Amino acid sequence: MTMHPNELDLLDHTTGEAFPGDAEVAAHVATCAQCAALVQAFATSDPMLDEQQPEVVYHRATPLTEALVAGSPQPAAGQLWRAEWDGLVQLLLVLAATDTTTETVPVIEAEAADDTCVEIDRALLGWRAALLAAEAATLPIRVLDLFLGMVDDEVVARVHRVADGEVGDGDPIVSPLDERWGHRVQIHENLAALAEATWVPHTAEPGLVDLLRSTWSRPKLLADDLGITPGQATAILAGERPLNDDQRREVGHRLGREIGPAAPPDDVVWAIDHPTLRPSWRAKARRAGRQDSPAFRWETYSNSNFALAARTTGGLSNRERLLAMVKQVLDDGA
Amino acid sequence: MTRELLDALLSATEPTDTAWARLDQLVRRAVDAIGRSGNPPSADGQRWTASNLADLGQEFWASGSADKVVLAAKDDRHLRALVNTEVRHVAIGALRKSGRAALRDRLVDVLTKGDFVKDGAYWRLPAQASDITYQGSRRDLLEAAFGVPVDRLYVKETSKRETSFASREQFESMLRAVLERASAPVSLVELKEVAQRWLNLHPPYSGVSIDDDFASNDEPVGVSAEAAEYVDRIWERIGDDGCELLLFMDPKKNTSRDTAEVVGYGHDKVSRVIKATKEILREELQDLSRDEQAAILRYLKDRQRRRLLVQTEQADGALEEVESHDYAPE
Repeated sequence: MTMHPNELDLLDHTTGEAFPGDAEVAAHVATCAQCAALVQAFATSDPMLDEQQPEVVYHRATPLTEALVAGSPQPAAGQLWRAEWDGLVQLLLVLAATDTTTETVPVIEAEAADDTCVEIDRALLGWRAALLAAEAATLPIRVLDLFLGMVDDEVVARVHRVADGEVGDGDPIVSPLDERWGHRVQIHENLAALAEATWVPHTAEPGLVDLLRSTWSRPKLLADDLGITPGQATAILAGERPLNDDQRREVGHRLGREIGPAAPPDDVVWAIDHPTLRPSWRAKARRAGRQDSPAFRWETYSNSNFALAARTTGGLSNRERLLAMVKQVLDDGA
Repeated sequence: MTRELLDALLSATEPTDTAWARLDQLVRRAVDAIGRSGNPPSADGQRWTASNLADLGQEFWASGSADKVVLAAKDDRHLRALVNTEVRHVAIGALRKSGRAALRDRLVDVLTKGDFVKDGAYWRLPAQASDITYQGSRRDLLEAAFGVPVDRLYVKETSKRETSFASREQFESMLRAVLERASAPVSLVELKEVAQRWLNLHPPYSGVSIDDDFASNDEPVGVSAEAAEYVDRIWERIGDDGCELLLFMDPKKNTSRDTAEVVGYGHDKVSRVIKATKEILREELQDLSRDEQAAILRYLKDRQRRRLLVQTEQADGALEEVESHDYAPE
């Protein structure tokens, strides 16, 4: 199916503005008579809005503004979040949270709500939104991107009740052909994709560090075999520094089998994924001319010496130490 | 994938942050594209003007759409697409509220069933030549239309909607008078403008048949011959009650309470019928593609809509007869 550019892109194309994707739009217009006709119509018409542009003053909803200013807290029940992972965006309400996962329901437009939804106060986000109680999903905390505010305890309680069968605030979906049905399917797919979100390659071997430790009892032995410093070997055996490709080949040769990259220890993953570090990840990616993507995170992890950074953060628990270490790595060069 | 503007908007905390002005620039461009293309049309039925385009832009900001698109966007390109879509939603929402689309549907229905001939996008009387279309002024057509009195314009108050109808005979008389005055085929767009003035639809007409993209098809479009055979069976299985509720399946137009009031059923009955209808539709349509399912539902809605119009006109006629007996002057 041909995807036509939207009218805004076609108008900017007509007037020669630069915009994201302009080359693709130009290529499409060259081959699509329908879009070329619209471009022609734009080209032969004058702007209809007054050139005089009033100064824009936009009063974002106060709770939303306060939440964005406050930054990301530790995930907890009653919090509204914007989740984003690998090009997928979904707004969520957290019903419960652990260190690594959250039980959530999606936030949708109130117009798309059915009788399994709970509408929330418009004052929270500035537009009419509802919580889809029937689509609860357990998601890793790594997908949480921006804290958007809090709902009352009663709202969380009502979501639970509606999930258990109480009638919600919308009209029931009476047909699989209801427009909202397709919307529900899309939300379901989004949540399923977010539930699988990870930056650790599927080929990563979870037990590799233990295998290394059982084979090389002391860092010096590993350092000698791989031609690296004892400090680097210590970090590798601590699971805080991955083997590079050459080192993996060497280890594989000595173990007599092909090995994948080592999966990072859970605590390292926890620290890397902590929602409070989202702005730092985004800033680091921007400095590198990249997006904060799964590949970028894996590369950053693979190329960072967390052990070295950890020396400056003594006296903290392991997770706190790792969190500070990752933040230091991410903010380096900021 | 750049997200420079998106990040600026996500971190904009002051009402006068320059990021808002940059977003407004996109909104203004999207609004301007609507004005220049005329699609969707203005809700008041007139050509877009700088003034009502500016109102459209203001509505975008006032409705909270700014944060809705910012929070949903994944990058700057996606943001542009969402802005364009949201601005169009705002414009289409106003159009739907105006009921102009409902009027067009009814007009097509009257023309199709009446003694009129369709030539492409134009309509004429059977005796008229089809080679030259009407080039005269709308004023002349309006004069002809206003020569046909609207004896009774029924306005039915329900919870949130008003419905006004002229009888089919009145509609046909008006169209015949207009086409006789034109002495040539007249476009449907022009007939719609005339009909709207004739009915003096202020406040904006609002009926049940308000899908803008709806075509009055006699057969479902986009459905295989095999699937088309399902339609009559579904229609029978759903029954009158289910058919009545078919039109109220759009969340943008109704709540369950509205549905109960409008169709005159108790809430329990609405729930029961909805449940049964849902089961039938699921059972009948589960093997079809999503596109075919959507096409069949569109067709079923259209069929019920046309039936509703006929029933309303019959009811209005009966009411008129009763009232003329009760209140006839001595």
